[in-house]
Amino acid sequence: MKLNGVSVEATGSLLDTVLAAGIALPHLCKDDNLPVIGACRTCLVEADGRIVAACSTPAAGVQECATDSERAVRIRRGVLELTAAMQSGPAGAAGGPRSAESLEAYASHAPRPGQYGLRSGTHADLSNPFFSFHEDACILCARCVTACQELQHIGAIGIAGRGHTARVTPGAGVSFRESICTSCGSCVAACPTSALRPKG
Amino acid sequence: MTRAVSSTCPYCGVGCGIVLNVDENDRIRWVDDDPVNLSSTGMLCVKGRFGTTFVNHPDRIQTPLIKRNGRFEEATWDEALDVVANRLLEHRGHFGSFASAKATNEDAFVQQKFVRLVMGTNNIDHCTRLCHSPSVEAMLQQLGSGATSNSYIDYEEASCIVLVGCDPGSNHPVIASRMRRAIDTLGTKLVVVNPRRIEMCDRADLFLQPKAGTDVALFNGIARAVLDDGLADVSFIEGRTEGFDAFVSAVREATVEECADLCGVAAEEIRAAARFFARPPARRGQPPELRPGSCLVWGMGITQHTQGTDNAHSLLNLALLAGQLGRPGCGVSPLRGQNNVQGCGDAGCIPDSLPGYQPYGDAAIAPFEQLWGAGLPRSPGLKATDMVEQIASGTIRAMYIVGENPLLSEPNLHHATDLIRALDFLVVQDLFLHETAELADVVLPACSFAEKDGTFTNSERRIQRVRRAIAPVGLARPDWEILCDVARRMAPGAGVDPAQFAYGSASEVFDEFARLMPQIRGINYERLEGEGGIQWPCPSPDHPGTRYLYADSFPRGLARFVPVRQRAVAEETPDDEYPLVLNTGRVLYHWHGGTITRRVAGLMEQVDTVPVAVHPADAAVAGIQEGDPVLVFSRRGRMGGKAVVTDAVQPGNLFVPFVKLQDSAANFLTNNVYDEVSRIPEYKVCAAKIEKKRERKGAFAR
Amino acid sequence: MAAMARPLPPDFPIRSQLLARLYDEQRRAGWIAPGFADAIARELRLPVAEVWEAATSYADFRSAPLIGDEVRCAGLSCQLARGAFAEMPSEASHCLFRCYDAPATGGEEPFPAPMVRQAGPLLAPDITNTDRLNAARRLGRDAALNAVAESGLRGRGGAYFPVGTKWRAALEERRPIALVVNAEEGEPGVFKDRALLSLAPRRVVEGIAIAAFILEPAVIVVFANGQADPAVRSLEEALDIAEPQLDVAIVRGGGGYVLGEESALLNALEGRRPVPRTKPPYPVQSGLFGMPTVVNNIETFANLSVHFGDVPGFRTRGTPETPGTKILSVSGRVRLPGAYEVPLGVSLRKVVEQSGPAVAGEVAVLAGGPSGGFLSAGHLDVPLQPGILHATGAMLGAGGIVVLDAPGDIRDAALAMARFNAEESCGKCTPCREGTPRLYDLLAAGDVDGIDGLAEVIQFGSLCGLGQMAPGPVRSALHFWPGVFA
Ligand code: SF4
Ligand code: SF4
Ligand code: SF4
Ligand code: FES
Repeated sequence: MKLNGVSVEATGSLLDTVLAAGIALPHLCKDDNLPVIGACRTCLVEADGRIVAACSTPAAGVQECATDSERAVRIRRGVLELTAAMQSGPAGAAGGPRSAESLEAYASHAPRPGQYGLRSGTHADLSNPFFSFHEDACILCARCVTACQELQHIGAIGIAGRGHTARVTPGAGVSFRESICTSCGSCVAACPTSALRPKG
Repeated sequence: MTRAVSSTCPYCGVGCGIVLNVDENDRIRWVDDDPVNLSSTGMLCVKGRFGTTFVNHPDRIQTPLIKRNGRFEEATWDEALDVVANRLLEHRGHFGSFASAKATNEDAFVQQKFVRLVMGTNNIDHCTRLCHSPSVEAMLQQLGSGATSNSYIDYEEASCIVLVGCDPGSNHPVIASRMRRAIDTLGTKLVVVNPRRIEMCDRADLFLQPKAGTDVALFNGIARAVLDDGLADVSFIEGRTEGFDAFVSAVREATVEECADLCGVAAEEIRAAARFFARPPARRGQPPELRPGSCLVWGMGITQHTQGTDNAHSLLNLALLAGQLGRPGCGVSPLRGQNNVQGCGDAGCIPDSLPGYQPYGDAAIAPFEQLWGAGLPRSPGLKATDMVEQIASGTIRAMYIVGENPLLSEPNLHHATDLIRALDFLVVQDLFLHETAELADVVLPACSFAEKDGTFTNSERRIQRVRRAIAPVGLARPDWEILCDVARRMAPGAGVDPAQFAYGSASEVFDEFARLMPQIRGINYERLEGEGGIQWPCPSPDHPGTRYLYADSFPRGLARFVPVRQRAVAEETPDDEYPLVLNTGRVLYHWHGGTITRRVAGLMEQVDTVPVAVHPADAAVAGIQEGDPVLVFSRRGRMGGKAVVTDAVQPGNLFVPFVKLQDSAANFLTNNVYDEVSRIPEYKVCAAKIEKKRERKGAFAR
Repeated sequence: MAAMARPLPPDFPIRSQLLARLYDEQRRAGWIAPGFADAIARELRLPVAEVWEAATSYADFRSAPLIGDEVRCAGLSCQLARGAFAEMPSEASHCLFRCYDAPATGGEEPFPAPMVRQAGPLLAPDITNTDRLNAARRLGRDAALNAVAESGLRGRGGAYFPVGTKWRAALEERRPIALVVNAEEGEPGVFKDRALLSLAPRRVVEGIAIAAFILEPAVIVVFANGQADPAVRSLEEALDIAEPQLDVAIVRGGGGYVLGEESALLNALEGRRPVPRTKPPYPVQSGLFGMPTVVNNIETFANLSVHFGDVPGFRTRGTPETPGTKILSVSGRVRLPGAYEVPLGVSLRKVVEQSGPAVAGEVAVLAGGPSGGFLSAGHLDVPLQPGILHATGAMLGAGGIVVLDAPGDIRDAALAMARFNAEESCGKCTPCREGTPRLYDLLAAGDVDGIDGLAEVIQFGSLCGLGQMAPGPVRSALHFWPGVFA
């Protein structure tokens, strides 16, 4: 398969192939510890002329893939602009171990600041002794929820509400502390932003 | 800049892979999960993730301490080691030692070598005595090996999981997650047997709540139902077992209904449990050529009784009867509590056998004597609980306790404290100055798991690396190095070659261990580096390790049925004065007696007083409401706690985790009576009463 | 109300009962309280957060009690008929699916026979025997499957995927198959499933029986719209007298345009948050609880029955690529709104003329509803067939045709569609969840410069068809009538 014009071996998904080739590509909802989610749409590439999400597209069967085509970069930038507009919290807030992923994605795609007005939640949940949740940094990538439900099979949190009312929610709308959260921290480990951040 | 060091979680027997992210100041900043670790598959629980800050806690012992005139004084290593070596030489012959199931295999191996070779005694034991000795006894007798027969992956490939007297959601959270994965995604059936409604009951297809101490009746009843309904695996019984007829006649002494009456479980539920376990409906994706399997998993609810060994026999009988052994997706698993309780036993820190569970017979002992160049004691040593009780008779006058705090974990703590005080000489080697260390003559500062190299062996027999991530705190040193120093000082006096204790690295210690334990002969550090953890038996360097045991045969040839009959439910039963049954266990946020977790701020924030679970009916009688401060009494002592009013416990029962918080601990109350065979104390049942704590009104109020 | 649902098989994963329980509670209490979520979570052995995800993710489920207003239809035709695009109360229903009876209020009613303006084989008087099923049986499974493949029949849900190809893919998995009958019909302006279920339910049931004969599914589930009581009752009655009896479960939905996406519908059936899954795997490979799953629309099943009634004749209607007839739902500014069954390929202009447009200015058409686009009077000479009718967005889709007065209605209608998409976004993926409300804002503010860039991101970035096609109405309106947004 040709990747940005260079022959490479196709392995797993397009994202796997891209990353194996040492090419940086944002993938804000795909954690190597978790199944494919397909929510963030920051991993878009052009494959045989179509724009596809690299994380959920098998590499086999694709002849030519471009991460750097003008169209792919433009659309990714657009998605990242919409993503950035969800975050009104302090830009440099210290997050968990994966929080740099979102910062790197922004850094590499130069989203036009203020392209879209902010549309972020304001809820904060400080009830857990080990970590806190800050909706003003959350991009609803669902990694945390997937970690809780499909990795740990605990299901303390979910995404309640549909459309633009969707929000990471413990239990039936309670705090982390009142939920069945066991403080295993898998959600914090997965979060690509500083929305879930360890305390102290 | 942080650096990342892969290691193994120091808390429970699951043995999750952890990645310690350490900053330039040698502080652990974040603990990450390890997706390639085959035991934890990218998961961790709160203790592994957030519970390692104890490593840098200011309470860590920084230097050796010697007690002079009743007070500890800081000492140099040379001073302290000289005192220890000199005093211990005097006490050869009436000495005992506790090893630590938290320390590494290497630590354990060197300790037992020191005790056997230098101190000339087999008086060495560890906390398995207090948790799974009945399981080990029963499995050795019936199968020929005391280890868990299967792997965590078998829980994910089972069609039915039966959880007996254990609470994996709290004590083995990652195993619980793997079980839930199977239940949620594959439709695996779950049967829970527990006097208390545990969290896993949320997912259970069947929940049996027997009366305390009636396990034999229950499992004989299930066996009877298996027989009655023609669910027994006849070809397995004929080809792989012996003693079936005697077992059948014992089981036939009571009908399912009679057993049901005894244990307070409906006969129909006993029959349902029998069907689920013996012939579970196939889970989704079950390979059609394989019979759907059932995993039998148990914990201390089975073992910590005066009839603990009988209980374990009744479980193993059931597994044999249904032929649920030796295939993928089935097997028997006593859930091991501490991170290295498996390895500590493997390494020989038990009084009745050498490393690798080899008996003291001439054939087994010869390679040891040959390699170590001296004779070894051949009579079994004292078990942990007996060592403490034998202080009274003068049989034990000196002890060397590594990484254990018996004055939290022994039953009837007031009694135990008096005994330990009576010792002539006590060395404690640990991280913190805990209750037992306070009574020591010499305290030696040991390294935590983060400061040393070594290996842990988890519940599924997987040997995994522990790697040094930070420099030792203060003057702390790895346990095995300290023990080597003591041994070398004593060697001439004991007629031993000091070179026996001159290891250059943990890897060298492991190599000697592997040479002497045939089950792990194929494993070394180089392989662990390349392949990750390896499950024993692994007899040769090209052997991949073993996922489940007993595929073709049992170590003792044929497995053996051992008929058991229900005896008195417990030594102490409720009466007018102490009308309730006190049951003990654990909570998720604390580990064991709490010596470590009390030093993790976030864990204390979650649970800072001992929760006392009481049924609403009993609470009403005592005028207790949720959150009230309460006092619990037994004939042996009292403790304070906070009431949790819940129907998770049955009427007439109290449940208290044995963690010590605010100077309160359940083991002030528990009964120091023991199972005859394994010498495990009866932690799970004693008579108690509960009262609301009266508020003090002011300085003059009474 | 329980009479209009039939439980799933008892050995099905227990979480599959969740949607039915939430549905019953919504109907009983008018909302779903957190306490109910707790109780149901315990009963179904699910974490409460997962119950709450589902409870809060359907258009018709409320997490607070509804106070006040009568339910009024906020669908396009009813708003036109009401003459005002005033802010609807937030509790308004999106569409009551009686666009032929605009402005609609109150509940649903059985589809009135006179509203069938043009009948073909699908809407012909209902069958009374099982001749077509017997014909399929006489052929045998393999030959019947071949006959379906050779008929050229394509799915009528809107995507027009060849039915034979889909079925073969599922059969190739060689595992027990789940057959899902999609009767969710949630697109405003489309009422043809209701028409079929009310007027020709036995035809639909016979089609299901034929599919069951060929696919031998382990389970058959009808996913039925939660509001469409009369239609579902009619289906129930047909199932009751079906010969031979079919073992069919009926699950009532909670509403939501995204349920038109197969995998979102399957998540709903599994008791999960109804959002689309990534593909592959496709439902035919791994769908309902991992079973190979065939999802087909009600109208597709009716077509199956028609096809086996006259195998050689089936291809004589419609076009060679897409044989057969299609039921159009025509509403808006017309004198004769209702269901029109037409051969595929017929000209749009002909249909519009037949329905008797009643406009002050020029005729315009919204084809394909919120996922489609507008056409001006000059662009009506297109044959109605799958694929786009105009590059800016108009398409046949599920066959919704709304006739409008241009330019008078265009701004309001375009805004209504943009708002609908923004409200119906399931919220899973960023371009759609974040982009569609902004698209509405830009359009409402007349800020048309930014629209192209945003529309591109939504169209190419979104995970599922809802987002991918959401820019259509906006883009097409701007293309034909740029002036009305200034
Ligand atoms: S909290 Fe973090 S992981 Fe969870 S949805 Fe928000 S950004 Fe993603
Ligand atoms: S810390 Fe709590 S919310 Fe996060 S994954 Fe673990 S249980 Fe779920
Ligand atoms: S495109 Fe819209 S409806 Fe589809 S998945 Fe994304 S958010 Fe949901
Ligand atoms: S990483 Fe591909 S959609 Fe998020």
